[in-house]
Amino acid sequence: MNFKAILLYSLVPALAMLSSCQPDPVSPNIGTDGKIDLTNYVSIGNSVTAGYASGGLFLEGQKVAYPVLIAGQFALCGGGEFNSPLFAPEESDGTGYLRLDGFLDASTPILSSVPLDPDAVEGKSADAYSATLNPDSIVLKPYVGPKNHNLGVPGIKVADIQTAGYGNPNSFFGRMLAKEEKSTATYLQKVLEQKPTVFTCWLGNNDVLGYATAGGYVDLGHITPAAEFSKNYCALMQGLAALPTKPRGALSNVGDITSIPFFTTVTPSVKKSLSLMGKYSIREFKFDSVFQNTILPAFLSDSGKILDTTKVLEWPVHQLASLNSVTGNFEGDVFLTLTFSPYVSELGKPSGKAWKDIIHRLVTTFTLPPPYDVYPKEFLEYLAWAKSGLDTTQPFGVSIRNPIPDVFVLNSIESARARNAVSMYNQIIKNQADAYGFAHVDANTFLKNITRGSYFDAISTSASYLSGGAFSLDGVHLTPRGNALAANEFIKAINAKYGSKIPVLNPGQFKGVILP
Amino acid sequence: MIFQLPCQPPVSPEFLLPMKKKFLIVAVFLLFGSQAFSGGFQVALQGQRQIGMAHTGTALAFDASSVFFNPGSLAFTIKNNVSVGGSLIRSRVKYIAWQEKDAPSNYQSETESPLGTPFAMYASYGLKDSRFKFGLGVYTPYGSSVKWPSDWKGYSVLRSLKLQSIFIQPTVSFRLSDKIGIGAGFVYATGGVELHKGIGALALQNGFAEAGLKGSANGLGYNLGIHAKLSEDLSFGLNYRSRVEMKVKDGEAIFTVPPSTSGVLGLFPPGGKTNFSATLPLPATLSAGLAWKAGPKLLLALDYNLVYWSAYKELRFEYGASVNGVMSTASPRNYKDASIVRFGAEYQASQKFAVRAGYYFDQTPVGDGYMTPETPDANRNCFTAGLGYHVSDKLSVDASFLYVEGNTREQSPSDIPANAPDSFIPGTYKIRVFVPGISLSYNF
Repeated sequence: MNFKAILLYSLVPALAMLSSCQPDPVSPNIGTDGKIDLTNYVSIGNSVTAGYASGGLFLEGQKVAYPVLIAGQFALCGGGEFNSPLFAPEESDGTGYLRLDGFLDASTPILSSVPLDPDAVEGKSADAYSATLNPDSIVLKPYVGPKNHNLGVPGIKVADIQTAGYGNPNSFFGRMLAKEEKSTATYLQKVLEQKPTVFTCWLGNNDVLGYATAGGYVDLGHITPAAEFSKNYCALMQGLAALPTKPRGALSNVGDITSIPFFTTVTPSVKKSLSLMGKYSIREFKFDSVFQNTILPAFLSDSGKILDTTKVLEWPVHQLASLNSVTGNFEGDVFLTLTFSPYVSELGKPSGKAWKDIIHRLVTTFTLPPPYDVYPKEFLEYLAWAKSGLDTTQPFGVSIRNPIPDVFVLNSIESARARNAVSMYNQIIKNQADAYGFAHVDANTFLKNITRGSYFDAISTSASYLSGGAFSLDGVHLTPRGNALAANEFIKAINAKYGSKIPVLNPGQFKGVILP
Repeated sequence: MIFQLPCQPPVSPEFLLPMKKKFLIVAVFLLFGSQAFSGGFQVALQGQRQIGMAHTGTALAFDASSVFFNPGSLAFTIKNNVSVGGSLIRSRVKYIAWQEKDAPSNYQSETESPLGTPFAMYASYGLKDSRFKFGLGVYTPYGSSVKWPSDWKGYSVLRSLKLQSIFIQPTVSFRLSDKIGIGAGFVYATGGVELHKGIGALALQNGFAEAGLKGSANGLGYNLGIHAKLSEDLSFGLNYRSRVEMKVKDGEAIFTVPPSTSGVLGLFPPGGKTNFSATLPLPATLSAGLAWKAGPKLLLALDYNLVYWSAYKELRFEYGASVNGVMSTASPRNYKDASIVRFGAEYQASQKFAVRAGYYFDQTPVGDGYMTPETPDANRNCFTAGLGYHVSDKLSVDASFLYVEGNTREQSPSDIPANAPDSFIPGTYKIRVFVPGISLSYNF
């Protein structure tokens, strides 16, 4: 044997083994064990289910909605096709959304609005700004594509699901429907028509969320009474249970809305800043309704004639502050909304910034009928401002003449009302899950877990706005990572209830808010 | 050339700079950087003949490699000797996600670590009939090179780690009598560390933010040994290799983060750059060995190593500027002292050929809950084989093969220390390593 041969004999087998040194895989046991039929999955829900994020519904968000992620896991265990009513690539901006452009300082993000995609709207191209403020006013183009399985409809309440013709006021539902169905179909009908073999249902948030996010300001959202909630929710479950497909399903309850960043981001800093000023009280007053119910009707009452604008200015100043302002102890369950964040730094200063924006917003959304439409919006704004009774030389948020607008404040009575509603809804949802043997997802616990600041399995989440990981720029809706965490909750509940072994997702691979 | 392989890891320029020119040439030639395949990040590949015999050697006096194995034995080596050898480490770690009740996961991942190429070079010289023998060793007793897919589940704990060390050890050995030899070596260690981890809380348009730490390190130590010939056929050796504190004084920390976080938010230093310092203890090892010439052709060896891993308490980085609100980060390791038991045999099959075999059990220093993606360590069973060939009286070639099978080890969420949950990932890990190696030895 020569030297070369020895080299070969000693190295060749060794090198050959190099290519096969992978440790043996130990495959986890996954599947349904025949305990659940995943061939036709339908998701029932609202904006979260639709993939709404950062204040809008757009293509990118739709693609990572939690039902889409659940369906992806179902597909590993014999699940069928699952389609969402995606915006077409050319209308990918959808309703528009918020974008994070940068930061003014460590606590002041600069958000800008990506406008409504004109290609997503039917007929005339809508005014993007007013559409953002009032999505109900836009009519989205109908969805065209393969059969839709994601019935997530932004804005829908349990109160709405038996409303015939709901596709007209809510274009998110309308776009899922054929033209002739728009004025007749109810959401409930469309759900049952799908004959799911498995479904998830996460409804109920909007029955209280609109009220809460508007600072308990009832003109912008009221709480669905429990009886009405119960009637509709039970009808939905009864309908599903009676389907010939005998579907399996998971019902999620409603999370404690006051734990989301929309309410937890601004509140501590406001409380701190007001306490530093030695003042624990803030004043809020209901301005919007007075403006809309008192000033403008008066302005418009002289129908047929164009008002003498100088006369209008002579109207007495409404003592709105004394009529409507409330002094509250700013401790305990009082919450400031995320939308108040631009004004936190104005507190205690002679500032009219918040009111200016509120009035501007009101005037912009307010459309005068002819012949009054000749008045420029600036005039209306001027009028509203002049007649408000506000004195913005007074310290903002402290003086009774320059209070925090109510629309930004969920006071302790309002938050208790919202929480009470949530607990009643959740009782109804739990009862229904038990009655029909559906899985139950405790979104309340889920929200608490992701908002309390935890680290598990290489994932950290908290309620921190922007950096918390789970919540998008609007502080209410989920990021892709939040959606993955939510999807896992549904999968876990289904596995626990039905004994299946559907694998969970790895949320770490999904992103939170992308910082610039 | 046998060392020119397609998958050579890059040699960082910083690493090469401090080295003497003559080593530089060799280093470029060989490339070093090895993988975590012995307990912790110790690399037991310091002599091809010894590797074939389970890396025993404390009581063996083969050649200049005793500079490492036992300076006390060096004085008993007969000839002057130069040897150059290296190994190729291919290691794979498999990870399977933790299976929570009702939440099975089909997630798995596997390291894609580059080939490691530790080396060992020794030279010895002594005048004929002198009781003194002088030696020099350049070898790589610690090192690790672990690379996970950059988007793997644990990216926020570790993406890749490269630890390199080269020990340069001038040695003197003295034969007190025909039966007892003592020796001592001074160790200058040089090396480097490079670590990359993702920052899961900071998403970029493309992937996730990353922290990269890179620096060169050096340290000092010593190596003491005593060799006793108990009888004509039986030898005993005792060796103590000291701990070496590898200090990174001026490392570079680069944070690839969203510009706003290193700008207006001030979470990271401006430009995402600062310097850092760190100390990594390379633990002391106490070895005791017996060598028995069981027959005219059969040599048996038994070694026991105690590695003082408890020196490795935490992995700590001190930054030159505030990083995400802190000036330092620390991740507990709390390693435990670990034992290794080695059995090796050499059979002189013919004038020219020797065959070798060995087995050793390598106890992990890593306690329950402390398995990290950088060292997902478990107890290991290690099997070795070797072949020696005398080309001539002066020249010999030795080849070895080592196979390491780590135990499958599970880390449950409840095992993980509560004070540092973000350093560890629950799940099941398994490691497997193949290491062929070869050396040339020249006697004069």
